[in-house]
Amino acid sequence: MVKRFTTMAYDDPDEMTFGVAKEPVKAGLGLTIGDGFTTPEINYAPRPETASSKEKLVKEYKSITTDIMDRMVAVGFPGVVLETEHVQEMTNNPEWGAAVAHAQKEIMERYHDEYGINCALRHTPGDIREDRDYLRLREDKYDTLLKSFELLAENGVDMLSVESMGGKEVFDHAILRDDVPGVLFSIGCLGAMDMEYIWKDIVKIAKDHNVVPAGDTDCAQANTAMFVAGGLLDKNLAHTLAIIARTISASRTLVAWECGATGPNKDCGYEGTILKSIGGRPIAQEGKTSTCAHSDVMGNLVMQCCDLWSNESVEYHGEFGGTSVQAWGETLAYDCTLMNVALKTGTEKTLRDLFMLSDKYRDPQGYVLAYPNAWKVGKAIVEDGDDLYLRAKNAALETCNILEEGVNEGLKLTRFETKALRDAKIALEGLPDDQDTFVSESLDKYKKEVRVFEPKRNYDL
Amino acid sequence: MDHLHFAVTWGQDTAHDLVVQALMTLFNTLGATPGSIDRIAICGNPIQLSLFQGIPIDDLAYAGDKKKEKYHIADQDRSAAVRDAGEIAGMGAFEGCELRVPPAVKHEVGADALALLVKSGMLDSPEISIATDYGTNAEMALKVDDIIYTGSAAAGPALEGQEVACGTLAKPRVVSDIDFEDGAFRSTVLSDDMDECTGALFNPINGEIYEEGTIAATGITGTGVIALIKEGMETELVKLPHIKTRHKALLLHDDLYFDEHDLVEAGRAIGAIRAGHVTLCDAAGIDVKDIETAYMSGAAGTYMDAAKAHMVGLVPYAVRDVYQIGNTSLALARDVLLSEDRLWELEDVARSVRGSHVMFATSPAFKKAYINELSYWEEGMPFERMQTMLKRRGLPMVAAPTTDPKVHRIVVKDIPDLGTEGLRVLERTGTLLTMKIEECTLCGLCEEVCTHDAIELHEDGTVVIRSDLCDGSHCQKCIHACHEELLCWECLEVVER
Amino acid sequence: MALKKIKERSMALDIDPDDILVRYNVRLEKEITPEEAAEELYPDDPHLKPIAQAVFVGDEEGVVAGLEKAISGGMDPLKLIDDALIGGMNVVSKLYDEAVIYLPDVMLSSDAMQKGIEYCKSKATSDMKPKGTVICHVAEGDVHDIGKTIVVALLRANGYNVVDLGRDCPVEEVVEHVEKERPLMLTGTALMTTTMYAFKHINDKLKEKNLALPFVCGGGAVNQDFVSKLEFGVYGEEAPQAPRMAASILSGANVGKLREEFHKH
Repeated sequence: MVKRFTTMAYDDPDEMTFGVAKEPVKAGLGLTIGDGFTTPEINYAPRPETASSKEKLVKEYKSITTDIMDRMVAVGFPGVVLETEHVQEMTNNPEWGAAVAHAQKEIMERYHDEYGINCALRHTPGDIREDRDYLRLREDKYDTLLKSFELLAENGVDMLSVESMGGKEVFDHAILRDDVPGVLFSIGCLGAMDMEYIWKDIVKIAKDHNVVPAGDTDCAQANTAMFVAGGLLDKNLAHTLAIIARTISASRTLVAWECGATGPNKDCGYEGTILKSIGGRPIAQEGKTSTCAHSDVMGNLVMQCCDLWSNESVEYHGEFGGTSVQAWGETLAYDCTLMNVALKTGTEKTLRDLFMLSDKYRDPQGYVLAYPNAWKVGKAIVEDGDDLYLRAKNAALETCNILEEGVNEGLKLTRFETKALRDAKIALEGLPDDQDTFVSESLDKYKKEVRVFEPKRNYDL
Repeated sequence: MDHLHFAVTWGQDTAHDLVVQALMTLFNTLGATPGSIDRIAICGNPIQLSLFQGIPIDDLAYAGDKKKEKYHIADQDRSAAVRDAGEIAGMGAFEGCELRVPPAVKHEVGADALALLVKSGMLDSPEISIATDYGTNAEMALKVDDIIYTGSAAAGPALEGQEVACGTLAKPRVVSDIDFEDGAFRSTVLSDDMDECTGALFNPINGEIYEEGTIAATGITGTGVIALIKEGMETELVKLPHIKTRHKALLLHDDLYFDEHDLVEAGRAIGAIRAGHVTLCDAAGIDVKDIETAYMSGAAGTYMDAAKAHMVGLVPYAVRDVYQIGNTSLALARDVLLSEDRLWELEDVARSVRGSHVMFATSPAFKKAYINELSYWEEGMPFERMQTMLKRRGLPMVAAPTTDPKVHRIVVKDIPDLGTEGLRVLERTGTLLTMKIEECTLCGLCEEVCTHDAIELHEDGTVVIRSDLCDGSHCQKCIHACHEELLCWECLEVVER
Repeated sequence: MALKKIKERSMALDIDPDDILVRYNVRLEKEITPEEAAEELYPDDPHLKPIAQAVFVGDEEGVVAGLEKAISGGMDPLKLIDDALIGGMNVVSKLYDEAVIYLPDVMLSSDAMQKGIEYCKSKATSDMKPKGTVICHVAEGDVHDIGKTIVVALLRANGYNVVDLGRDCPVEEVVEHVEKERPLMLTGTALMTTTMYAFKHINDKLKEKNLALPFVCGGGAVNQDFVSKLEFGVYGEEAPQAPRMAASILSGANVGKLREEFHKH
């Protein structure tokens, strides 16, 4: 059953802080997320050559897991989450992923028993539902994906996540053309529909196995937009448009929770703060500690309301100070310590505001995601919470408004960004008021323009 | 309350009665009986003088000739006059008492402006000088050689503290000045005797108080507003048209504040005066920098820190001397009372000025200069751009002040000599305006927003407004505060006494 | 109470970011002069561009000279109004909206454009079709017309045909013109508190004659409470609202809609 959000979990953005969610989530071995603590969530990737066989992969992940748990204990951190984002082989062969999970969990249990460290294991199978140039969202590959979830849940994984990629085929076309209605259609409509399709099944599997259906993030689109947008000097995509893609993705990613996922959602789309303001469930975020994976224009700001603090992903290899997972994991855990001290001493709102202010004016993306503004986007979404199209459009328009007002508040935009923003707003204001018209117009348009777009096959449209 | 608006809305007779009654109260208070008074001299703007004498004011209420023609509104004769006070309605008992009335220059420029000219001493000085009464109508006079150019800038009441959220007329217990001190703002507050006392030391960004003041304040005067703008601009907290603090306002002590809306209101008033100065210079064919001396009068012109007024543009930028000369109207009335010759001298002055009076409302130069000012204060047009525009329009140039003028504070209070008996102010010279609001929710907001304690709300929904305290049509905070829009200006009725 | 409201306006801590970060992309963007900004927006046609340019800088003689040349070269005067004059004015209003130029610039350009329009009309053989007509006036008895002057300039800058009835305009004259022109909207401004009652008479006469249209009233003396009591009254607080109101009317807004959009409380 899908239960749409039509009200806000937080009446006042000032209520939101890191480490505290309205609906904390218990997971794994003694861990409660969003219950007054922040916890590091360490992500890693095996060295490429190890993906050639199941045995090599298991061995690699055992080393990774042991290294992390060792370091957490050595420096005295009370809790940790490990997240394994699958390499394709692990999802394509569900039993490979299951073997890795099983091996990891055994090690974690040992540390939990021996030292009492609280820990949980999250697995994120790859969204393998494609065939060369084409998405194959609902066919054989889908069954394989579900099988993977099932085996993972049976083999010790505590939290199930995915970064689903519905709508990607249209998005890739639209984002390169500054086509904001296309972005809205791909993320807000197609993405959300696919989310609903897949998350109903993931939630069922999780419930059957008594594990946590955690959540999604718009890696395929919002994160792509951020990546294309790049740094301040890059001009491939105006950052004012990148943030519109990101706020639209909040409307989309919310669907996992509406299907029964409980959080913590995943990090790399950066839509978490908006989700938290609406749903009150815990979120994972990444920022300055994910510079191992990508540069970031809001490295501190995103910590403002996080419950899990993540490093996106780092390749496993040696560093002067140990292995990469140890180095990044320790950094994450120290950040969390600082936040936890703030929570203990009642100074969390000050620290939250310091995080927020250090990047609020760095970039339009950070400006909109600053929690008071993120909350406004959330509010715009729930105003038409029952209508996937309208709420995504609301999010986009509210983003335009926030940025326009921001210019009076001290946000500086280039002419390139200002123009893109203005064009986007005009395009959005010209869109129809109802979902049916918008979807049918968009179908006509993108069936013609996007060769690989197969609405019937992938979305039953 | 604005006399003209009151008289037009509730009848000139009612207004006349109020003026006469106020005078009677004054006589009673002084113990003067009709028979014991030989002579009365009055001063004021054309409206006030007309209301007292019972001269129709329609020609003052409507400035447009087309309307005047259509309704057969004749221009009234407002020359200097000596009359029998017994002719004034309601003053029959004063038959035989002489009434001396000073002349008006023109429509909106009356004896106040003459007082300014005469009492400043500028008529006798060879310098190019300008006199400005910093009040609602901002009468001003520029003297170049022997020609006097006059005008009235309708600056609006912002300089007297109105139309500004926390603004108020000068009265006890209000902020009258602000200075930058030790990285913070220091306010000056008027005492019960209208003396300037040290106020709080505070941080205008967040309102934090570093040092409490000796007197709590209930409002900010126009002079306080000027000082806030000047210090705000110098500390760069004010960058037109914005106030660069997180609240977009300067926060003072005692819950007082000054926000961006107030800044626009004050800016319009300052801009109107500077545009007026430019317009007079244009008429005289001189540059603003040619003005050597400035005279400041009126209550605001007396209490204002002249150096700060100079910095924000209220005083021509290149003047060498500034004289603060107090309430010249009262002094002029005294002169006229003592010398009839003086009265006829004034008539001569008035006549000589009439030909070179500039009606700002219809002056193309004023319009251009004022639109520049609006853009400067409201849109943040850079000052240099304003200069470019003046040049393109062929108008006299203004510039930022570079040197400080010498300030001569001739008087410390607007009425310099209070005599041996001291000053007492007549209370309740006005009337009451009232209406019963049937569906009033008794929320009390109308009382709460009134900065003058002029309005009372009774439990049966009856609203009573004291006309002597109320700021009238310029304020209307109570009207705007009424949620249900039930309180209405036109529905108010004058209480019969 | 009001102070509390101000404080609530922004609960969160805030800072001036200039000391902690640099948006190098903004810094690198060289300060663009109004002339440079305009350069990118002019029409390309070599006959139209100098006229649009003259409109932009407010050069009345340049406008007429450019038009003269274009018309003698065989261009249609009415088409020149659209393409060159309004085209140039579009540049002005766009850059004004972006705060690259200011109100006094708009006033100069508006005058220049108006000169040009009159010149073109005198040369044209047929009537032009503007996007809409607005009648502006200053209340009977009032001569303070700066507000109206600004409103007229901004409306013209946005391509509306403005019938300017000037100051101290008798009630009957206003109603007659409404009857004759059937404009999109009527504006009235008043500075003197004594004169705004003329708006009520206008409103009543319009009603009597079944001439329903939005009647935008503003100016120093006028307030929303007063205007709301007029059947056709819409309160205009600031001059830049005038073209936005006209645009709303073009896209179907009536008095009620306009009040919803522009009234404050």
